[in-house]
Amino acid sequence: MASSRTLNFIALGFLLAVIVTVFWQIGTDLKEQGIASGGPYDNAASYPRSIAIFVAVLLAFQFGIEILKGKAAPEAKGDRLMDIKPPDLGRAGMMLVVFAIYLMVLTTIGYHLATAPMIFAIMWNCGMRSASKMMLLSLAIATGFAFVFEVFLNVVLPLGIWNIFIPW
Amino acid sequence: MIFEFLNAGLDVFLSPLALGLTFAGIIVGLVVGAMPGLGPLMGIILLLPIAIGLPPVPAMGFLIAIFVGGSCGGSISAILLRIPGTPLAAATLFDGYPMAQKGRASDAIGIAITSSAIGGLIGGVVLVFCAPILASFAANFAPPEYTMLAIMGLFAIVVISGGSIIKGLLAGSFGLLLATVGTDSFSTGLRFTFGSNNLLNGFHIVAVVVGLFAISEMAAQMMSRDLLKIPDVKVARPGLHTIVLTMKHYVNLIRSSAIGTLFGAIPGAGGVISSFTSYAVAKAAAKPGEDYGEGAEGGLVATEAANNATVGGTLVPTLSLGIPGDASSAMLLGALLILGFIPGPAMFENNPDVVGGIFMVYLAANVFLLIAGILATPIFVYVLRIPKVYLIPSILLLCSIGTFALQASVFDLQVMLVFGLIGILFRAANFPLAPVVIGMILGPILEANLRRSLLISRDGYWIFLDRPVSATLVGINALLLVAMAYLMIKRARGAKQSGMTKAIALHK
Repeated sequence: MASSRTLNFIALGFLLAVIVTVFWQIGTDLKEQGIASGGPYDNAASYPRSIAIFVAVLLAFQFGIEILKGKAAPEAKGDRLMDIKPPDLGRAGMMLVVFAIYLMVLTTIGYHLATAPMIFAIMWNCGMRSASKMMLLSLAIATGFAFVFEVFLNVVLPLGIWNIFIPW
Repeated sequence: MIFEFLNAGLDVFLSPLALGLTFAGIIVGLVVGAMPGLGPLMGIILLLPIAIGLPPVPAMGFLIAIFVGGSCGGSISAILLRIPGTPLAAATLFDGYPMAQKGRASDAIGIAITSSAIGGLIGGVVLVFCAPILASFAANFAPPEYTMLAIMGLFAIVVISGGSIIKGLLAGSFGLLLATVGTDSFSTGLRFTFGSNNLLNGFHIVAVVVGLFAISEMAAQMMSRDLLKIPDVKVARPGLHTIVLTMKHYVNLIRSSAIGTLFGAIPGAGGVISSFTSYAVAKAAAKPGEDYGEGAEGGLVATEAANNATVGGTLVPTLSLGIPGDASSAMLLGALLILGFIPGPAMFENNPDVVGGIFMVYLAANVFLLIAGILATPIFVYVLRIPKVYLIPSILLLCSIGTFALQASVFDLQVMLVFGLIGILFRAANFPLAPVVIGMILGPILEANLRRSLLISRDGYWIFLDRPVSATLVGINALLLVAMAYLMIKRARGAKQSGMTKAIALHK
């Protein structure tokens, strides 16, 4: 498992990428639109630029702190992230993969075909192994949510390419 | 003036929809509050997509009731399982669990619920009286004052919420930058849209917040090793006699409610600080024989009255100034904005029925809390027995349907997932998530007022010092900056010392 320090660097790197994008967009797209200069009314770049500069200063501070911390104590033994075992991380990662696949196929195959398998897969991932119970629960949860949202809240859930719906 | 608001709100409040949803919100709040890992903020986030399709007062009644119920619900698991359902109930452990161990679990839950309801009502009285006064004072505010208030709201939350100041500021600034995506309201130019039509109106706040909080929380829950475990919880049935037990501590009740309301009104202070402070004050003022920490009723009264009174307090700046006190009230503010109301003096002037309706639903929510809490506790106790293996897929499903229902957009689902990953990264790297939301909500207010200030100014940024109230707020912001610098140095020294202590201990 990555240490807290590595994760700090990744998060700081992400924020660095965000502000680089802000400056790049101001220098290209906003400039082309003619909204990167002028008075407070026309200059739409001034405010995000000021915040990005502020973030850059903070990032410099935080990078400095992380580097100094690293020199002072190479790796803390009591790092809370060290307690997380690879199988725990694997479960969380698998949940995200299942959920991402669900979101990708949701509009293609529709809510009623996509949801029960997603619930089934997450229950399996949690360690449940009773297939009949899982199947029954997956269907019950998926249908229960569909009933509440479609009947009480008038939400049209994704029908998919086959236009599958339940006429409540 | 105060009664005018209540009178105006009475008509919209006395509808079956508003009353029914306020009661439903209390039930939902108690359930999400009781479940470890969820809490009022998560409850508001998960049900926000449903609420924003409703008329304003029933919608706000539903969300505010979740906030009220959720602030109290954490005490149930704290008392029965020794696991606070929410950080708000952390101080409830001290005396709640020992009471349960002594066979008084029902009394402990009854006292917690009664204290929460009465604390909430006292906070409500303060809200009803103070919010209109503050709003009428703020009616003379112009863009420079609002600019400084928005900065103050963000700074205060970073200073008081604990953790690394720099990380808090980075998270808040990230939220401010997210709010700039989309069409600029002044120049009508497009900012950071990368040619995508989906980004013309920016990111939908609900999709971002569901991803940041709910998806990352579910990923964290998946890492626990008790996913199939059914907690062994005994059913507790508090009776009406617990109201009498609570009222015996009336001085403690009023004092703790006052502390809670005061802390609630300070942006960033919130329920956790107020409940610990009230507990400390109650312990200091305890009579001989009251054994705090070993099951004293007074300890429960202090913590629960304070954390629910905080809700009333936090709504004062949220409604009258448009400055949220914490992440939950930021979500309420976001809901009001989505419903088409801009919190602040203008809302008090133009929509007294909505303001009065919000006052009424808040007061009613606390009355419903007492009724539902005393009568339906066995149901909430039963909810504690639901294993995580059923909860996690259900919550993920609620996240996806709720986000899709916002505007039937697949793009919102993608945004939710991406922000889920960002939320996981931020949590792992110890970046607070609340400042991101508050930055995103305060961002448009800050930018619009900053640019308006500069438009009306004849001498640039000096406008912020030319006006007395604005200059005072600049002074307060400067003090907050000094406080940030001081806290950074203090925490760095503390970390250095604890590092040295660890090193010495390892050496031994």
